[in-house]
Amino acid sequence: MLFSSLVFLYGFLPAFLLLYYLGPKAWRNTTALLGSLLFYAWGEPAFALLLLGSGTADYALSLAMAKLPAGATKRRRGLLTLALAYNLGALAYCKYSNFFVDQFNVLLGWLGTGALPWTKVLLPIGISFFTFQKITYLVDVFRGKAQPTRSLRDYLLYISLFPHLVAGPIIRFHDLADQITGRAHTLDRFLSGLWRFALGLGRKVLLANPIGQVADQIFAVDPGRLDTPHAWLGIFCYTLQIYCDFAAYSDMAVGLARLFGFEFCENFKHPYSSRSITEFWRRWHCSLSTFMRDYLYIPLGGNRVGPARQVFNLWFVFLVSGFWHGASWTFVAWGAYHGFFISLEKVIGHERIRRIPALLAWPVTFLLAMLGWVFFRADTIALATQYLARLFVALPVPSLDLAVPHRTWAVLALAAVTAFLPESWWDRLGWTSQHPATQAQFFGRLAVGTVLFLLACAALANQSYNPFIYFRF
Amino acid sequence: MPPRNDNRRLKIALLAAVAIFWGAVVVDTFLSLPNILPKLKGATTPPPAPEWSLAALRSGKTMQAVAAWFDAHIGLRSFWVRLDNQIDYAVFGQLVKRGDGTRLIHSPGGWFFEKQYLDFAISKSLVAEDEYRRRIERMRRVEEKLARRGIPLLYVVAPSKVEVYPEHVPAELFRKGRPEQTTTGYEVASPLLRNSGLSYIDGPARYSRWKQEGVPDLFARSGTHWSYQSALRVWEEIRASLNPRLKHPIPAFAELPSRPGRPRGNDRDLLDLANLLWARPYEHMLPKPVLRAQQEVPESQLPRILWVHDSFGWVLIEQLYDAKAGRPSDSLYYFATQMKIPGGVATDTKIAEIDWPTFLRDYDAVVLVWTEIAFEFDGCGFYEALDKALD
Repeated sequence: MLFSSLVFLYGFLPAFLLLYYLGPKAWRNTTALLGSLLFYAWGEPAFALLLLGSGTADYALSLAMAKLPAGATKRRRGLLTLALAYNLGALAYCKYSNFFVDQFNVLLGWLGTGALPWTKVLLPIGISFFTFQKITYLVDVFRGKAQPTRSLRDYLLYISLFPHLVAGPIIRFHDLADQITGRAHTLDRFLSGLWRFALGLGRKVLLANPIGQVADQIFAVDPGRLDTPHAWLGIFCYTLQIYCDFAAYSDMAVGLARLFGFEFCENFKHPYSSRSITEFWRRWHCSLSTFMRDYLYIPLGGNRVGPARQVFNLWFVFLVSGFWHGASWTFVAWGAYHGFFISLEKVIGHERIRRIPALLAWPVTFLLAMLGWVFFRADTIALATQYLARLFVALPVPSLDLAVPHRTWAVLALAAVTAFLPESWWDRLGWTSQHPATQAQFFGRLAVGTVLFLLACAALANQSYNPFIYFRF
Repeated sequence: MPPRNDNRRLKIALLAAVAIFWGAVVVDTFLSLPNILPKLKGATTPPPAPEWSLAALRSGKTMQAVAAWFDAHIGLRSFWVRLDNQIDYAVFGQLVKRGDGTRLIHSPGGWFFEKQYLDFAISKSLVAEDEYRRRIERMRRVEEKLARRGIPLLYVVAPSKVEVYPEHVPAELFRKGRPEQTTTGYEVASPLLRNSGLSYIDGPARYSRWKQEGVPDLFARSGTHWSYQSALRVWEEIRASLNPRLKHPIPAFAELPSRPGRPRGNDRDLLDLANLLWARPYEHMLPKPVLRAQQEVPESQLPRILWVHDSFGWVLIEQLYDAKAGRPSDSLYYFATQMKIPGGVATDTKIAEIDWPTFLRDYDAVVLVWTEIAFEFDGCGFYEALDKALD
């Protein structure tokens, strides 16, 4: 179920909130868990069992780990390895087995033998996110940074909490544990949640969706027949679409969590206002960057190893991060691309990069991020390289006959403004803070939130209404 | 910074407003509140009902169907859709087509067109001249077979609004060519029809002439079919052609005095299809003739006409019965659905199973009304069926 669907907005969400708030206070976590499982099972009923089964096993193993004496490191490590094996194994099987079998079949094709018979494996929604959450829990319990919960319900609620279940943010257990056992349900927090949710819904439905249609039209064209201006338009649209889409989802997640008393970490902090790729990754999908730092970069040696190894580790972490995004060489290339620039900035030195004038650093960073999205969006490496070539080498081809509604041009301009305005502007408007600081901000939120919500619902309802003047036959 | 709870009452009121609005949408989704806005115009296919079997639940099909049901039944849907369309139209000057529905084109001055008519106007004939010759020969045969049964057949070719008023179609939409540069199917067939001896009314030619003569409002700006006003001219042509061949002629229509007003019914079907919140600024005033129900000819002396037609036929049928100038009869809409007229209630009759010699016995005439853009459809099988069924 998508947050930006009518069945969620007017079916699931009001029913859930009614049950949550009208039921006894002691049942709230149980209601939240059942609601979350229903939310997950809505699209993938069978995969809810995977979530429940692996979650129960995590719970048992984490308790077993905690019970072991401090000196039994080997046995603790064994239990952790077991837990990581089935969690990462499930992720590898569901997400990457199709990819590896395809690659193997290509190899077999080269060798002139028949392809391996294989039934495509379906990808459970959100498995990349909840697997990482489970890893944070298991590793933190192993490291002694977090105490395992005694309640299976609380653990299942942590991994399945529907606002972050499908697309993050990736939240560590110890950031949520206290909120699960006791959280404040205040009017201010509820209203703040409504505001944030409306902001995200508007950003997703009113900005990301129409811009995405333009990007889709352009990327559907064979790059060999694509003219250069439209190639730039396509990647510009995709750059804004992916930001508006993902950041909107995070906005909605933060907002929904507030509706029932939870507070999530921020996942996006105006990444397109960054002045270096390193800064970009501090602002883009922050919870993933933090995860990668704490659970991969630091275990690889972090800043304790020599400079050459540090640079390689950085690049490797981004390579893995790219592969986590999707089972395709394009994602690997995208990770390697970002890893290269991150490593390069490390070699150059962040202090030196900070001294580059903003008027130069900002557009260069944006351009590099934008070019990177070509790999992310293209279906194959070959198509990505052809597309990149179209950006810089014009072909004598007729201009693409693209029908872009007037509204979409306005939306594109608005999305660009929202993406490029620096954080300080939004802070001044009070959009990102949890509570409005002044009456003007309160009424501003009320007006903007109401308009966004109404317009988003209107757009959603209209998308499903395609009338014919008459039925002819 | 004021303390957070200093306007608690306001916040509670705000929350209550949100809850009431949310609740209203939810209640309207499941129970239907009284309509504040008119229902949405246009025909849609209802989504299939969710299947509640274990297999469907496990595969996720039930959930998909529930979501589709929700989309189609969402509370205050008329408001949502009209609001979104109003923004597109009033702010951005466009009507955005979504999905497979009818595509609307509009231009300054409140002119609306259906995109399919534009596509026809700038597309070359898909049917070869020889094939048209063969079809017209069959049309003539059917006309003769019916005439032998004492049933005159009249073919009325309705004009396309895009062909009558191309100057009001946004110029940038004629990318593939302009109507005058294209030979459409009807233009290929037109000389053949003229020389065939077939009984027919060449609507495109008549409308072209009337336009040159300065007759206004041949089509309402906001409608897709001939206007009520100009349809009366078509009726004059029909009477002139049919009456000499009819046992019970069609009485002349008597028109009561009327003044230009807001377009209604047929004259605003495209504007209605735009489903705007506030359509008033885009309405172009024109007269809708009011017909007096004639008393002079008793019903038993009126003709009973079988109509085989596309949507242009409805205006003529409506006027015939407004003037009480015909006996209740049948419509074979698109030669696919039988409807009782007046009223337009569909019957269960399967057109393919009709026994034509028996079926035709009770009619005084058959009138075919088909738009020029549908000429290539060859009466949707009418001529073929009757050619086979009649001696």
